[in-house]
Amino acid sequence: MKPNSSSQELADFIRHSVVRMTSYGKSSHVGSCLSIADILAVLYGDVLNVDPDRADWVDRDRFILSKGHAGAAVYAALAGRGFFDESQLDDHYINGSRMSGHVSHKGIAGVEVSTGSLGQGLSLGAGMALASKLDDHKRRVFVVMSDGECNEGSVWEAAMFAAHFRLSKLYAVIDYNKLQSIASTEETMALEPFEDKWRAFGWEVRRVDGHDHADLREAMSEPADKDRPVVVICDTVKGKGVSFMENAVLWHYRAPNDEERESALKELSAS
Amino acid sequence: MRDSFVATITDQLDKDEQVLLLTGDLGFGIFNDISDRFPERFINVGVAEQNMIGVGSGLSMMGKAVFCYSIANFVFMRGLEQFRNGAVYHDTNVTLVCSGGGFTYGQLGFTHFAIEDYGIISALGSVDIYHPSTSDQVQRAVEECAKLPGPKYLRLEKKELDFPTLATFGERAGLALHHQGEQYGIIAIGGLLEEAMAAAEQSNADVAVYSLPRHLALGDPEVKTALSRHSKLICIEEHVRPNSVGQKLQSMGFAVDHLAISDTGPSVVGDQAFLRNHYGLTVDGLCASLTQLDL
Repeated sequence: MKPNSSSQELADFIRHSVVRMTSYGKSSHVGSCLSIADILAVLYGDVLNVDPDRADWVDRDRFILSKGHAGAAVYAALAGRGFFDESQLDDHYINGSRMSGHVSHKGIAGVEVSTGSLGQGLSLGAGMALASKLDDHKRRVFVVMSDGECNEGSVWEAAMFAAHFRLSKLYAVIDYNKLQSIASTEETMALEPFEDKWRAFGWEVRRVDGHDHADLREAMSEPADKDRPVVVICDTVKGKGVSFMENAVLWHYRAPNDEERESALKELSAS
Repeated sequence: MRDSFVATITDQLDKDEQVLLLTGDLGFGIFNDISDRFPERFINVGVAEQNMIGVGSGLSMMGKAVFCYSIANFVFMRGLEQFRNGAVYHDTNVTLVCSGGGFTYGQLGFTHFAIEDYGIISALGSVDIYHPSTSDQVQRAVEECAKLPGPKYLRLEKKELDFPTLATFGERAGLALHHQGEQYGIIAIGGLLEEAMAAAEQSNADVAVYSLPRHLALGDPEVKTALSRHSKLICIEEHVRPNSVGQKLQSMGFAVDHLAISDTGPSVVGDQAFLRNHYGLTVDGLCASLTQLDL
């Protein structure tokens, strides 16, 4: 990828990459990766104040993928932005490599935090945002979460905390594709009225199409209206971009075989 | 020990702006001065220990030195996964402060026992565990926790003990000698040092008495050498046997008479002294053990 590529080009790169990575690595969660490809592309393309040449730059914004199972998408976004060479993506899921299925910070430039156990990222982000506030620093902290993750009680502990301590530089970005591990979010553990829940916890709520780059850019860039943390609820489609993966729980688990991989890549290239 | 902790953490908050104290809505009355003097760095997170440890990890990843305070089980069990995946895996400076080690809160019942704590935490591998016995050791532990990188666990009991230290062994005084003796050695964990000192005085045995303020000292060659001069050891601890200090000493090849909690915990109610007696973690228990060694 070119360094000055657009967010749409970065999204395309992420989608192509995660299909290849999950297919060759025989790993799960390609549907989850495709679901957040646009969110990550806008974050890494246009929103996050980060520098690929100085991954540990102290003033950078912080990003946490709390839904760590979509780690392949973060690796692809980082490679696309030039944090490391694209060829490193070929190591995903390979014995002896550092490119684990759930995102890992060890030995991978640009990854802030290793995650994989749902419900823990928002607390980490709240701690980072609180530290920045104590230091009177303007950096922002973004935490991408899944919808099913909001079943975890710890999410709501963190939500209460962030509102109570008025962490207005904290953004929770929720991938609301409405599918979790076995069935829909409503069948599993109803989240609705989802917006009202966050409002009741003291957050500023923004609702966007999670595949519309202009909407995402605005929702994740605009400062908080008041002294409150911001939740961006993104309506997404699990498996977005590959017709036979869209809205299908199967692709939370299944790795594309050779035929499925080529078919998916062909469809992505055509779109 | 709690008073020593509060005095020292107050000092650390005063000296270093990177130090923060988080509490899970516990410590009524003892943190008033801290709250008044350091309102931004004393944070009551509410009854939410998972979040406390997650927030603490996030703060530490930004360079803060974070103490997470709560009672016994709440701090070492409820947020264990947050501690493992956060501060431990990322090797950042978070100290879990367990107020009420062992049977300190014995009358409150099983939920409030901390009798598996350092066994569980030590299984995480890289955590520097402190189970101090004296007020001086608490002070030293808190100072080190504030200053040194990496995750830590600090086990506090109620009573302040003040036995002089005659010698120390190993890195950062991990093993401390409080009573001279050659033939046998008693290693007392935490507040049980008081029982061990009394037993050494009452017994005719030639016995040294040690405390072990740093758990990791067990892996220190200097500590091993110091203990090797005794023909037999007695280890007394308010902890279940699995992954205990006594069990580790045995695995190191020492002959150890191990006084510990012999089951998974009592179903009866009692204060710390009563429950210690229930398991023979007493002066009489130690004297009986010393007599047995002499036979």
